[in-house]
Order: sequence, then C-alpha cells, then structure tokens
Amino acid sequence: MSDYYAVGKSVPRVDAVDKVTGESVYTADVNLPGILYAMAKRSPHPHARILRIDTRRAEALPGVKAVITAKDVPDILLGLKLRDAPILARDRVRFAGEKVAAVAAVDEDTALEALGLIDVEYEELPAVTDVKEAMKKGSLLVHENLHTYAGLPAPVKNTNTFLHETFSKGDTALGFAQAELVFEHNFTTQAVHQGYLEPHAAVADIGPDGSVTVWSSDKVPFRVRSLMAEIIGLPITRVRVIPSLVGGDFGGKGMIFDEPLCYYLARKSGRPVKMVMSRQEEFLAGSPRHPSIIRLKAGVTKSGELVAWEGNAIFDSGAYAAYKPQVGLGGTKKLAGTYRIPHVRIDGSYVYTHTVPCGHCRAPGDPQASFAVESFMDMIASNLQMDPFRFRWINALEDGDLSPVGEPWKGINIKETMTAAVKSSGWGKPKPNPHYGIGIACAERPTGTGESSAVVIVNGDGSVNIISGSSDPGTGARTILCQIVAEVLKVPMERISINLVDTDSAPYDQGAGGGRTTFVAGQSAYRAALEVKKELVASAAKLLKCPGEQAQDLIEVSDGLLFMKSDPDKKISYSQAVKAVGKSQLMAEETFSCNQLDDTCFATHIAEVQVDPERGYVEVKRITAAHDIGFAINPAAAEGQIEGGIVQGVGFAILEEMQRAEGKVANPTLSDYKLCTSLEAPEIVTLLIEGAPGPGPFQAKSIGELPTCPIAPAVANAVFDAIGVRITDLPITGEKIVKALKESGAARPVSAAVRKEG
Amino acid sequence: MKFELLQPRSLQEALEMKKNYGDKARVLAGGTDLLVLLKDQKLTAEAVMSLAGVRDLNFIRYEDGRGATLGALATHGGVAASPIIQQKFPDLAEACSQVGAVQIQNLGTVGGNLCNASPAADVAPPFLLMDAVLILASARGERRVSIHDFFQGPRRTVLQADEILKEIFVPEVPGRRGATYLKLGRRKAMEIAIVGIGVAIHLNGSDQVVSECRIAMGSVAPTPMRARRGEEILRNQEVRDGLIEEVAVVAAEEASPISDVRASREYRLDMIRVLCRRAARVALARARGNKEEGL
Repeated sequence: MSDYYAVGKSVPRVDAVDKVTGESVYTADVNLPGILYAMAKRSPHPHARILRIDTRRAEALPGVKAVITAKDVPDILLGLKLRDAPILARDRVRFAGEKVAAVAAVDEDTALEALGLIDVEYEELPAVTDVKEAMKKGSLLVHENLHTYAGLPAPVKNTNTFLHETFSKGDTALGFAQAELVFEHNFTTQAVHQGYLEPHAAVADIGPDGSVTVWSSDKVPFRVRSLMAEIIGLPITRVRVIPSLVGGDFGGKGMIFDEPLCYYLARKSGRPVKMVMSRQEEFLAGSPRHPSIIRLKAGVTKSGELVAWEGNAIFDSGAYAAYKPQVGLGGTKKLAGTYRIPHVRIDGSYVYTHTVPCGHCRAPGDPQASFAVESFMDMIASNLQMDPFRFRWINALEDGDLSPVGEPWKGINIKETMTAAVKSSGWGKPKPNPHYGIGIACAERPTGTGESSAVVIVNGDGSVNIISGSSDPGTGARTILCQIVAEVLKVPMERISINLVDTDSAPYDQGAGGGRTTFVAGQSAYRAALEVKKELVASAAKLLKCPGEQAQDLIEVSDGLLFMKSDPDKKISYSQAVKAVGKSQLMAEETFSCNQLDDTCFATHIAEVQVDPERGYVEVKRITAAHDIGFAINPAAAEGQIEGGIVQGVGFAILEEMQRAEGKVANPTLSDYKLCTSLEAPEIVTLLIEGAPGPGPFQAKSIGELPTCPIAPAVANAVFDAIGVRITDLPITGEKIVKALKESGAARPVSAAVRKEG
Repeated sequence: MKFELLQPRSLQEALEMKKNYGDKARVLAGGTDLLVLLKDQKLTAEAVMSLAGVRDLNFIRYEDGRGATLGALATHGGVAASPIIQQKFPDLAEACSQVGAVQIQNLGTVGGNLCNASPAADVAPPFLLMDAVLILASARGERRVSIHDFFQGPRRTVLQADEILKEIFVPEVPGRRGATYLKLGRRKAMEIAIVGIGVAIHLNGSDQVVSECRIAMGSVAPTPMRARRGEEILRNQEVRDGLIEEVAVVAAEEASPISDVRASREYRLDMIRVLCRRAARVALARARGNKEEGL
C-alpha cells in the first residue's frame, strides 16, 4: 500500500505477549517486603456532618498497623484545576462513598474487619441530589466556600453552579427571526462508569531519608509526582513515581485517588502500603461521566437549511470538580454539531450536587452533546420529511467554514466520512424485516495538544532505545512510538526498545489524554529520531568520504545501514557510525509542546439495529464507522480503538447506567451495572479515511475518543427507524421502548420502503 | 472473609458435620452465589462446608417411563449438555444454559441454585413445571419434599439446619410434553432474570386439545411460583390464539412483582404476558412435535 518501512503497518503491539500471558505487572501486582494492605472507610450518607470518629477499636485489632482520619493528613483541597476536594472528608461528607478514614493492616481481611470497627458518628443533613434543584436560587449549597477555592474559572458566590460557559457566533435573535420553522427538544443522559478492567491502585513506600516512591495506576505519572510533592511538602526530586501498565483508563485515571492515603498510612506504620479499590468502590466513588440535561432549539428554512441554533447543557458534576483539568468539559462546545449555522449560541452549566463526583470519560462531554445534537437532527429531518442523510448533507460544514462556534477548523472532510459510511452500510437498501432500523450520526473531535519529550538513543550495536515518559493506558502508544522511530531510522521493530520508566528517569510528559499521544509524544520521538539520524549521517559522511554539507541528502538509511544513494555498495552500519565518532551511543532529546491546534477529526457512524417491540429489546447488529484519521500509523491499532469506542458507545446507548436512589448509587456491581458482553458487541465495519493531513508524524490524527461519540444517537435514530418511537433519555432500555410504544398507541405501521440516498 | 473450612469426603460425613454445626455451617456447592455473598459481606459464616469431596452427588440418571434424578451437585453446564435432559426436559436444559455465562454454568449446580432460593433462580421454573420432588438428607434420614413446598420466601427454604439437598427427582408425565423456559434480561448472557417464564403443554391424543398447561414464573414474586389460574384456562381446551393471550393475561394477574434496579413492576407485568404467550406457543409446537414456531 505504501513505501513506508514501519508505519502504516499493523505490527503487533510491543506489550501484547506479556499481556495475554499474564506477565505484565500492574500496580496491584507490586509487592514489597512488609507491605500493608489498606482500605478506606466511606460515608453511607450523601450529606452529613462528621461529629466524631473513634478509631480506637480498629487500632486495637491485631494486625492493624495504622488508622488515619482527616486530622492525620494536610488540611488542603486538591484538584486538577478547581481545588475543592479534601484528601479525607473533614467535618463534612458530600456524597455517599466519600472517604472518611483509612486503615492499613497486615492483610486485606484484617483491614476489612478493621473498617467495621471504626465508629463514625454522623449528623445527617438534607442533601441536594437533583441538579435542577441544585441550580435554583436559594438552594442548599454543596460548597459554601466555593468563592475561596483556588482554580475557580470566574468569581461566583452562593451558588452550586461553579462554572457557566457560553459560546456564540452571529446573532441568534436575528437567526430565529429568519427561520421559517423552529424546533425545540430536551435530552437527558445518564452517569456511566469508564468500566476499565483494572480498578484504581496505588502503593507508597518511604525511604530512610524520607523520599517517597509511588506506584500508581494513574495515566499521568508526572502529575502524580507534582501533586504528591505538593501535598507532602517535598521538592519534586524527593518523589519518584513508577508507572505500571494501566489496565484501561478512558479518562478515569487522570487524578490521584488513594496515593496520598497510602503515603500517610506508610508514614504512620513505617511500612509500605498498597490500596486497590474494589469494583463496588469504583462505582461509589470513581469519577464517572457527567449526567446531562440538554435543551436544543433550531431554526430552519422550509428547504431544510439551518439558520439559527441554541444549545443549553446542564452537567451534574457531583460533589467535587477536582477531577477535571479544565473545570468544564469540551462537550459544551459541541452542542451545534458539525453543521454550517450562521447564528449559534451555546451555554453550559456545571453544577454541584451531593452525588458521586464526575470526571472525564472518553471524550468528556462529547457523547452527551452528540446524542442530543444528532438525535435532534433526525427529529427535525423527520418533521421536514427529509431523509436524515440529506438533511445533514445540505447543512454539513465544508473545508474553509468556521466551526459552529466560530473557530477555524482545518481540513474539514465530514462529507467524505458520510459518503464512505453510507456506501459500506445498509443505508438506502430495503429493510430485511419490519423491525429492522438504520440510523446515522456524525461527530467531530480535535487532536489533543500538550507537552512531551523523548530521548532516542542509537546504541553501539545499532539497536535503539526510546525513553519517553508518556503512558500507554492500553492505547498502543508505546507501539506507535516504536513504529515512528523505526520509520525514521529504518531499524526493524525488534531492534527498538521502549520501557516504562519512572519520573526520575524520563523527561517530563503530560501523559495520555485528550487524544494527544500519537501527535505530541509522537512528534517528540519523531524529531528526536531525526536528530539522531543527522548525527549518524554526519558520522557516516566522514567514513564514506561524502561531502559533509551535502551528506544529509546524499546518504540514505535502511535496515540499520547508511549508504550512498548514488552507490549503495558504499555503506556502513549504524554500529560503525556510532563508534566512528568515539562514543558508545548517539543520543538526541526533543521536547515538543503545542497548546493550540486547529486540526480536528470527523467521523460518521451508521447503526443497524433489530428491535423486538414487545420486549423493547434492541440488538445492535452492525456499526459502520468511517473515521477521518489522516494517516493510520498502525491500522490494526486504529481499528482497535474504533471498535473499543463503539462497544463502549453501545453500552452508553442501550445498557449502562449508574442508577441513583436518594443520592446513592443503587447498582454498584457489575451484575446490575450492565456493560456490554461480547454477545452485545455488534459487527463492526471500520473505514479509515486517510489523506486529510493531520498534525502528527506522517500526518496522523488522533483516534482514541471520537469513536464512542456518535454511537448513541446513531442507535437512537436506528431505533426510531425500526419502530417509530423516539427515545430522548439514555440509555434506550427495553422498558422505555415498551412504555413509549404504549404511549404512542402502537408500533407505527412499518413500511418496507426503500430510503433514498442523499 | 474468615471461616472454618469443612471438607467432608462423603455424603455421610457431610451429614454428620451438618448435624454438629447446624446453621453455623453454610453449604458450598459451586460457590457462584455463596462466595459472592460472603465477599460482599452480605452473609457471614462461621464455617463453610465444601461439598467438593462429595463426588457422588454430581449425576444425571434417567429411567424410562419413570423420570430423571439429578444429583444436587449436577452442574448447569452438565445438565444443559445432557442429551436425555435436552430431549425429555428441554425447559430445564434451556434454563441451565441461560444461567450467568459458561464459567458460571461450569461451577454452579442445580442444587445450589434451588437452595440459594433466589426469586430469580433460573432452574426453579422448570422444576416447578415438572412437579419435582426434592430429597433432603440429614443424619436422621431422608425426606421427600415437593418443589411446591420448598421455597418459603426470598433466600428461605424448608431445609432444616442439619439437612442437605441430596437429589431432585422429576417424574415423567404420560402423553406428549412440550416445554420451554424463556428468560428476559437486558443482555444475552450474564443476567439475573427480569422475568423468567417456563411453560409446559401436555397433549393426550389430539394435537388440538391441551390436556394440561403448566406455567412457572421467576422474578415476579417472593418465590418462584406456578400460575395456577392461568393454567386452568387451557386445561382440556382446544387451542386458540385468543385463549393463549388470556392465559398470559391471567398469569400476569397472579404475579406480584416489585420494582427494583433491574426493572419496574409495570414492565415485569408486561413481560410476563409477552413471555408467557411466546413460551406457550413454543411449548405447544414442541408437544406437537413441530419445528419451533417463531417466538
């Protein structure tokens, strides 16, 4: 397909064998001599005053080595930006599941028994668990001292709405005045857990000199380091974070969880301490996707042109905003989709309630916005009696357009993805049976920015080491970095090594997240490899008697050899080139940093479903996913990201929901919280649309998050196509479908009509 | 989780231990329910008696004309794969094949599923359809208890502190029996039934006249139950679609489902009607020896 040496090829992941054979070491596998096992005591109440904590009975239990409460940890508030979360609840708990104490013991059973011996006396307080109640003037406040918190984006006081953002373009009053038809609908989405296989885990060990070593499942080791150093009051040099493999992240592993507790328990006990959250704790106190309430209003002409658009989102943030690096979510800006609309106004509110604090979950805010926008597009199309594809097509952005909120977007190719998806799916074909349905949805998400560094070393034997502090929470990032360096240096993959390295041994890296790794870490590795290559060529030039000033053009590399383009027999090995300069290795280090990027990525998904209207059962039969990817450095890895995103999206669409009862999570088990099993995973057709240049090495774009965004609306639209009922409240359960069918009279008489292609 | 582990090597030894420990010892068969409850601290146990060493309770025996006997430790996987159970009691084979997933079916036992006494127990409806007889053993001797008298409430049975479920006997019925078990979950596997419905249709002579209809329901009441009033509607009746619909409606009236995290009471009532109607059609087709009718 291409003349590339190592990229553009589906090479196996560098860590695949270790993972499938169970050799990989995760944080929970870390064992140290004398290690203690710790557990957290959690509040059963959504809102209560802590009157008294008596740890004496727990401390007296044989095998218990340390018990800590808020008085044993610094009285500071933590947060990735907005600092509102205590290390342990102090005086007050703000959600059921909040940590009030922790115990370390010689084994897990003893720790568990000790938890039951910690006596906490609470004064239960009224709780505000409904986001609309929380927004009312005069509502009970979750944080009375919000105005004093560091990191608050704009000064606010006496409110639960800690952030209100607006985005606009044009003049919506004018736009709606021009519109011939106006539509308005409400949508709601649920809280879902990231569902990673590996729960949060942490280990802390304190050296004789007081220096601290932390093992963590966090995907951003350097942020763990800086937060821990700040909490403890040590310079960064005294805290070393050793990353383990991360068993899935999906946005949920970017904030420290039990690392500080491990440290303070280690300090009190004099022994290393390990904490691993249980699955139930993950549900009670992880950092799930924000539930949302979204209202959309659109003005269109009779011919179907969008002229005005209003979006309003309320994100229920739970008890703390600490888990979000930007305080808000990128999804708010997505409330007008990928369409050319002259007049747009969007606003988003982020609101505290006495419920589980929410965080980042694969494309933060986007799946919520996408569900609303892309369902709404179909609802309008249906009302206009227009084909949903055609309605999107005539309104879709084209290259050169500004984004709906007026941002410059580079290389808009949404229509290419639409065409590709339609061609490869059942769109426009006769329905195979009456309760089959097909639905379409489009989405956009930018390539992420940030800072990474990489060191590339060519050793004396010609083999190559990459040193990078970037993490690989299951995305395949380390494999991608190897492929990039292999491509530049033309060295076989098996001669390249990349290991997980601790924060003392690697240069700073912002870590995985936001779809940045292939771009940012990739660019740092790419540039470092180019630098090393220059040195190799310079050395070879002397040996090959090539004029130095032209060497970079006259000398080529392949399979670890440098040779004259004009005479390939004139060649030397990397090993010789390294030795010739009198060194043991050649090395280059590059830092790449980018804070602003106009590059974005597009996707169109088509869902085909089969609905059993009597049971309301939805089976997602097939997803056709066309993704604007720029260039797939590893096509199999890219397809894997798409497939994973789709399966997660199907869960969001029809199965998953953190149900609440009186502010508490009512289904905190994998038995009652329904993740997709392999039987629910649909057939997936992935279409990698290459060619629109991205910002990454070899023009790659990001792929980690976007695939999960259009699934829920595509499925909702397909369900409507199948049985004629519109579910605007996720997840689309059988129960909701049966109820909606009852309310609509009966299943719409279903025709076997062929749908026109756009 | 700390407990004394008892490991009897024979049924006799197990019964002696149960006599001595009584309620203090919980019986571990496949462990797919008990261990989860213990780990979640929803149950405590001073002692756990593992039946892993009592190998002679894992069997399936069939006597032509009389019926089948299942050892309490017969696994879901074993029952689901048994050709004679598939042929004679397809409802039981279907129920076993829908418990959890393959891993759970390989460990979980039919006896454990009954003794756990969940209202959602998948094997309970087929055994209710079959008027199964449970043989309860203790050091004092054995007694036979009808499945209809076995459940007393959620997680409560008539088992005495010193008793162990030893065997389950399912009598063969005269004439032609067609039966099925339909389970509704939100996923295709790894589910606790929102509603589970078993229907058996018995034909004697004519294909048109139902001599007996039996309906068993799970997850719709404190214990798995028969829908006796619904059953009566079809007894000795010629089959019509409207009649099957009526059966389904009456069966739903007999249920008393609750709303919980899995589903609302209203949805459960709706689903009893849907599954009951579908199960009755499948059971009827099977009794007639037809290929499966569409659900």
